Amino acid sequence: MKKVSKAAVIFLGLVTVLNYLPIILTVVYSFNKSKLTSVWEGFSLDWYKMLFNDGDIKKALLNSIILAVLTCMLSLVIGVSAALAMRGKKLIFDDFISGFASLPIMIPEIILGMVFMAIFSYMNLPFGFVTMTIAHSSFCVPYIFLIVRARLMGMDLSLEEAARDLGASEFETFRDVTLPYILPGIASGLLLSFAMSFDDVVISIFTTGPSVNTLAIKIYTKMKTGITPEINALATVILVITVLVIFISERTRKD
Amino acid sequence: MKNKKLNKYLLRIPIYIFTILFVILPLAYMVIISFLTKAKTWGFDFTFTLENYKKVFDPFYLNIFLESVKLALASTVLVTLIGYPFGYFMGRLSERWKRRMMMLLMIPFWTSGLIRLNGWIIIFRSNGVLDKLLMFLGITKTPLKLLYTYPAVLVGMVYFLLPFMILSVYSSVEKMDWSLIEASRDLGASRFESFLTITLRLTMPGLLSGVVLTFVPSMGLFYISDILGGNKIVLIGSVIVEQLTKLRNIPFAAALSVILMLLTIVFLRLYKKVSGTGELEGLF
Amino acid sequence: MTDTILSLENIKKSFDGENVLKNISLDIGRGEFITLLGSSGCGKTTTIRIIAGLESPDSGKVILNGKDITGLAPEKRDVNTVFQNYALFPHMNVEKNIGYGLRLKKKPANEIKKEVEKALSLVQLEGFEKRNPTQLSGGQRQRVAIARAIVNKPSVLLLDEPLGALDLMLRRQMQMELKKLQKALGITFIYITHDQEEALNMSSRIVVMRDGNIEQIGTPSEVYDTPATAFVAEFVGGANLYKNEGKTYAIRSEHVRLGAGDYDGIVIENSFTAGLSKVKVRLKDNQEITSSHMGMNINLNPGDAISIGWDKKDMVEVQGEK
Repeated sequence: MKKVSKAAVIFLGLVTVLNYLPIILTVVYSFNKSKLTSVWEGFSLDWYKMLFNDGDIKKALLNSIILAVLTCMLSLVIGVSAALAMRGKKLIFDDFISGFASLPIMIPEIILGMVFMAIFSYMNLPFGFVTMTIAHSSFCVPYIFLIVRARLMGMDLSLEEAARDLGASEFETFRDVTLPYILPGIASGLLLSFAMSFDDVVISIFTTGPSVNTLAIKIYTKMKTGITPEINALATVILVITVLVIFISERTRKD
Repeated sequence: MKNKKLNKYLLRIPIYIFTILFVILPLAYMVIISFLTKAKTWGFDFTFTLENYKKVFDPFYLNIFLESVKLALASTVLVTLIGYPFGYFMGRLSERWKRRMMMLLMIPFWTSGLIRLNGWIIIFRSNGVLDKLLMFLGITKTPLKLLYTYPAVLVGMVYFLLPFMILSVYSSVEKMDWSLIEASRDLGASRFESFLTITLRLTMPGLLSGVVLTFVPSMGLFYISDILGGNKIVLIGSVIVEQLTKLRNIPFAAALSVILMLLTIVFLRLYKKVSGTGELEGLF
Repeated sequence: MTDTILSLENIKKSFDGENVLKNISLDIGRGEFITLLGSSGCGKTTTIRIIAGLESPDSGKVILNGKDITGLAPEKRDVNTVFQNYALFPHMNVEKNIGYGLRLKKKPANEIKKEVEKALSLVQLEGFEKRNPTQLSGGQRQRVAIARAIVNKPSVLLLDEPLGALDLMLRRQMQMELKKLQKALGITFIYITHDQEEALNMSSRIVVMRDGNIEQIGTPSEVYDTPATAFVAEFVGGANLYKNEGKTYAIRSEHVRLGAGDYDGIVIENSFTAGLSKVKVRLKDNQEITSSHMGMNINLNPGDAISIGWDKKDMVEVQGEK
């Protein structure tokens, strides 16, 4: 019964090819000698040389990484503690709070950008890493919270009771049983958060300060002003890193 | 176990503080600003006005809202037409191919959206890859100059949002018990009837959440229309950005955001009602 | 009972206003195999959760080895549990699972290894050290769960319907093994089941529970032959309840003779399964009595008139209604 028709295979293949076409073209054109993306003038590594000598890009990359790490740390603390707290008996405001906490992944990003810009200037927070970390965490917390909560909901309570029964204290139970159980959830939540923070343009534009330029913002401005082959080279580098990360996480998940 | 209870309260503190301070408060603040008057230079005065909302209903902006909704709808329909069969067929592949397909999907999905859009610029730009191909095949004589047009924006939207639909449909196809289809065929349903009465019904949660995950972001994805549409395709997201960054009319931007937010909430409510749950399938 | 190891004194517990345990008092002797028997919701699981410390009673005391442990955390009690669903840690292999309690006690590694091996041989799972719980069958998981508990040499081992998920053949076999194991180890077993046959087979004493109360405590033969209440008579022995002159009597169905001429009635049901023939008769005063016999099916049809009877000595007066 469970077989796939030829037409279905062709359809899957075609969509996948179209899905990859822009990516492949980006990679191909990153080796183009010509400054114009429309003409192919032969193979060259010029754009990569230019990229690796571009101090601005390096700085932006570093900023992006710092920001993503800060966001991951803040979101991890908030999301995991919330998931742990709200697994048992609920308090009156729990549904209200977790409902609002999940809102940032449901509403268009532009609204969040606007909202954060307004409130941060009202609160007189210095625009830069602080504001960006908070803003990015707003859409990373719900992911970590929801993923870890889902994992905890699937967890058999008697596992923890068994640990207590065998002589583990509350902390030892958490360390030996609960944490290992939710670790895959935490890992995928962090990976997702890192990627989303790294890629975010919309919210970053509104919450960035004068001194903090992230890679995503940099790419966005460059793309708006007209594409340069340097962007193709940068895109290729990011792509390679992404593929590596996915590959490694797939590998580790199997073990 | 008294300290367990204490722990439970302590663990709640971060999310309570964060949510109140950085989600609820900002949203409330936005609603308040939307009723205030723009100051002459920068910011706003604390004088109550409905002017901003009146302005939203100005035919010019109303039209932009309409255009945005239309584009979002068009993207959603296209994404559904491609994404549903894709997710469905994917669910029927062998375990091995499922894993491979998943990997193939995840690579672009995890790659920055901007970088993926970059490829479409190469394709669409005047005398770019598409124009060259079409002229080579003799389908067109002159370059189509598709970059900075409506179709380019639509393609960009569909391309950007397709994985969300595929993943949510796939996850509900995965959960489906295939013997139910065998049962329905056994009871006399044709292939098509069986699809309509069993498969479609059982994968509806995935389809619906795919629709939400497509429609909601597409209302605000201003940078796709920005990059692939130039300044020719003006969507509500772009107007908010413009009001904020160029015209410095924060109250009006707030009012536009409130309306957009209301639209989103109505849509989410609708989804909740139709699907019976608030959870989005395939997200986790 | 010479030597009491565990006492429950006036334990009361309610969840959301519902009294799950109404007033439980119980003394358990060293080395006993005691079974809490009752249908689901009778409070038997709550009772052992209170003994394990996983639940705290609203009032009353738990005394272990002469010490009040009512407020003690579960990890500080010299009591271990075999959970109904086994609760094996999915991220640890068999060896790690069994050695978990010993590792927490900071026992040296070679000693742990030895103890784990010993426990595995007791449950006949030698060579399974490196397996993951997911690679085990239901019966094997069961054995690992038992090994994980007994390796800590608790004073009392609590078993919460440990055989509930196994098929009939395996259940029978495990019943025997558990009984042997208990004798070999000399540990007090507190065993939970809703299966009266299991309780009668294994226990040194049975505690029959109903609606948060203890109905009767006694050896299997006491509970079976001289039920104290109507409920025990019906639940444990499947006995008939016969009312006469305001008193209720339990009469075991195998003691009811067909055609004895004492009471007239009509046959309302006749069934024959697994070598046991059961005839249900409605008497003139509308009471229903079942008579059972090993062997041949008896040629009777519903509606047939029949008379039945029993010896006075087989009537046991019981308290309460069903």
